[in-house]
Amino acid sequence: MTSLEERSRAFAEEVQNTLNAVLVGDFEIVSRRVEGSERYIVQPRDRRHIPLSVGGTHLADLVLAIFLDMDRAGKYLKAVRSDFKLNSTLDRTPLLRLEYKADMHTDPIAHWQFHAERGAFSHLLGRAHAHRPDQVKSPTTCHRCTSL
Amino acid sequence: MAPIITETREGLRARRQAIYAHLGVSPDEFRRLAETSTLTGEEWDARDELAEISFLLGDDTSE
Repeated sequence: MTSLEERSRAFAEEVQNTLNAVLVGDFEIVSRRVEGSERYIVQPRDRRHIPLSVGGTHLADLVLAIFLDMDRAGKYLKAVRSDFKLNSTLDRTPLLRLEYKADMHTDPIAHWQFHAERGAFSHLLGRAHAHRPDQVKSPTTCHRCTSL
Repeated sequence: MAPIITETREGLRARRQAIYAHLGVSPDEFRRLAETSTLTGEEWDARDELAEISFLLGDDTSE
């Protein structure tokens, strides 16, 4: 096993522990590679989405993939791209996206995208508000939310 | 330690062809679709998986 492979495994373990600390559910973070390459993708096994629930109801999915490649010196792993998405269970399309791409030239290297123009976002906020009104404002009364 | 999943190049190329065949579009058609249209959930999944395959195969330099 190469040291880079060990490091990708250690990083996947770190991601696993971080998610375990904040999410419930059964998921396994792995490091994918292709034979003969030192590129890795850290993500859930079988590219599964991680279910997110509000009050026990599955309302959204977390989708994540972190792309690792060697740095310019060829010695260390570097995260060259990462994709985090919060998908609605209504239509399986993203509500939020956090994208990072080290070699991005046209857009900012890291940026959020909010797909708040449709009912799925209001649905999620409405359900969360009903469960934890002290933590999540209602989408029908929250001016900052509706102006996203 | 987390597991390492080692894929074959042939397997990834076959998977890429299967994705395009399932969507019924060519690579160029799907690229234009992703740039100009609102994607369905299935198309978002395909977009993500194709990017992952390109990265693992090392042919993502033009993306």
